[in-house]
Amino acid sequence: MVDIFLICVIVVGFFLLAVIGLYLVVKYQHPDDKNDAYIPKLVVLLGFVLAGGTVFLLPLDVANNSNFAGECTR
Amino acid sequence: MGVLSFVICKNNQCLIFCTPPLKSLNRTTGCEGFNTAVCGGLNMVLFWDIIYWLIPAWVFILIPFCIFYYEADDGMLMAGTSVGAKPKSKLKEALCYESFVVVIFGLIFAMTYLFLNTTSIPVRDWTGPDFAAGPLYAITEENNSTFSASQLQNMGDEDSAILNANTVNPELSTMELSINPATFYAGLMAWLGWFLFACFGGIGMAALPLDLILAFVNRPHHMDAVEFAEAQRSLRDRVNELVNVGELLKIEQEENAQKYEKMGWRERRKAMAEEKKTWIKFKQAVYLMEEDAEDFANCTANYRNYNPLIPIFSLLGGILALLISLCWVLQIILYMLPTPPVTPFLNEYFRWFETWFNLFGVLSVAIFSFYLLICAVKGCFKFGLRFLFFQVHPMKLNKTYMSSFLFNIGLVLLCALPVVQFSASAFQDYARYTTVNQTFNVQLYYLKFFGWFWRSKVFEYALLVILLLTCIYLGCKPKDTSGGKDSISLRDRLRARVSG
Repeated sequence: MVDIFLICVIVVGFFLLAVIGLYLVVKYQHPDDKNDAYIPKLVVLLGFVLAGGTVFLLPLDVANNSNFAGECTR
Repeated sequence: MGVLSFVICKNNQCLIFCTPPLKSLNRTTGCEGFNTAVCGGLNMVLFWDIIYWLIPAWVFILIPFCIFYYEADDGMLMAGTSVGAKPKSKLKEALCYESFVVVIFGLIFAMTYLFLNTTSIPVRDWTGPDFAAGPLYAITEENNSTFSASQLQNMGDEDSAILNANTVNPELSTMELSINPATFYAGLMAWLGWFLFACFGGIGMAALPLDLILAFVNRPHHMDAVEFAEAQRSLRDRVNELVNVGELLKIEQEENAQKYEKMGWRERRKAMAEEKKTWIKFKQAVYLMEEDAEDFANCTANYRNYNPLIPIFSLLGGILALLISLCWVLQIILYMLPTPPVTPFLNEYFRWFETWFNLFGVLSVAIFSFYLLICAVKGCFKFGLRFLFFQVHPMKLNKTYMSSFLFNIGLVLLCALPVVQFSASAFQDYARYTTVNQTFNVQLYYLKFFGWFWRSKVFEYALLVILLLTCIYLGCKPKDTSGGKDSISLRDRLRARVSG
């Protein structure tokens, strides 16, 4: 059974990263790129989520395996 | 029941108890499906595998394709090929360049995996007596049928005898295993990214706190009439010079386009490199002039509307960044470089949270790791601004082009895995049971060829040296200045070239 708290953390974390990424793209974009270049914007947004997710996966890994002394899979 | 076997990996060394089946090392240390009272129950191996595949897909497929497609408008990357280009031919061209990148990196990935995918993990053999020779325990039955450890008898002399009967091989032996492609590519991407991270991370860790504190020190202040006139004149002169330079560059570009047709391949390459360098210098000077113009506006026209909290937040952010950078330096010097470590330092601090509120420890790991990523971006920008190796890609409110976004995201993604590896090895005590510890600090740590870089801590030393050199350099030259002199000399050089 998966810890509900960790599932909530993943969902909230993903949502937060997506919102921050979207905010960055919208706020920082040059007026020339407004309503244009949607594919690179999506690549940048998902790339931001991916980079943030990679770094935040380490604390999630720690939280997932805390209190665990030894191998759990066998 | 057969032989009892389990593997414990700590401090880059594995202990294999009894005689383990070989595949036990390939098993995960995750806790998928396990009791949530002990583990979170998430399949972290799957999570990490997804990340390990997505990062190269982004770095080598999606980002370069977008850059090739949209840079064609700019004409910088594929100079001369994009003028009057139709969307269809732009797409074709981008696909052509992209397929070239994919083939090159695909070959590199395939070849390295084919020849370098073995890891030699040191193991110590422990052999215990037969399982049947162990003591027997009685379990006290309780009314409710669920079992708990408290129902077991206490351990006694018989257990001591069994433990003493264990024989330990004093020599470490090695176990050669081939690792799976996802893990191998994580290692390869981390190795590639380390070159950037060691350089830019080191610069950023010194530059970020300094720039934030300097933003407070040099905050907008009210100018008197003399100061105002002087600053206005200086800015006007610089703008005029840069306009001149821009026009000269345009003329030179047009002339060069004709010259290139008559030149040989090598000559043309050299001339194009020279032209690109001049462009980079021009863009750098324009960026710095824009920054100064913004500062000037904040001191004069926008003075009343300027948010006075910005410099205070900058100062607070600068102090916090300075503290985190100092902690990282101490962590490297005290924990990561010496063997055995002098003190666990930050690991102790994270563990201290476990005694009262575990989430803060996890959050601290997140803050320390994410800080490194921000430092890498800052370091790259600082490096681009001070030296002329590549174009600067500043992230400015309402002024960031898609190419700058793509460049910075590519850099962040390349640095993400080195950051994870660096954090996993810096917080190895705290994160000892994690899946990523098993991947980076055991499997990849002993990988053929690449493992040497991590075992000899080349990158950690490089990062520390670059950080110290940056501290000295920025201590002597704290402000980014192109100065009026640079744009004047650039203009004179261009004039000489155009008239020549």
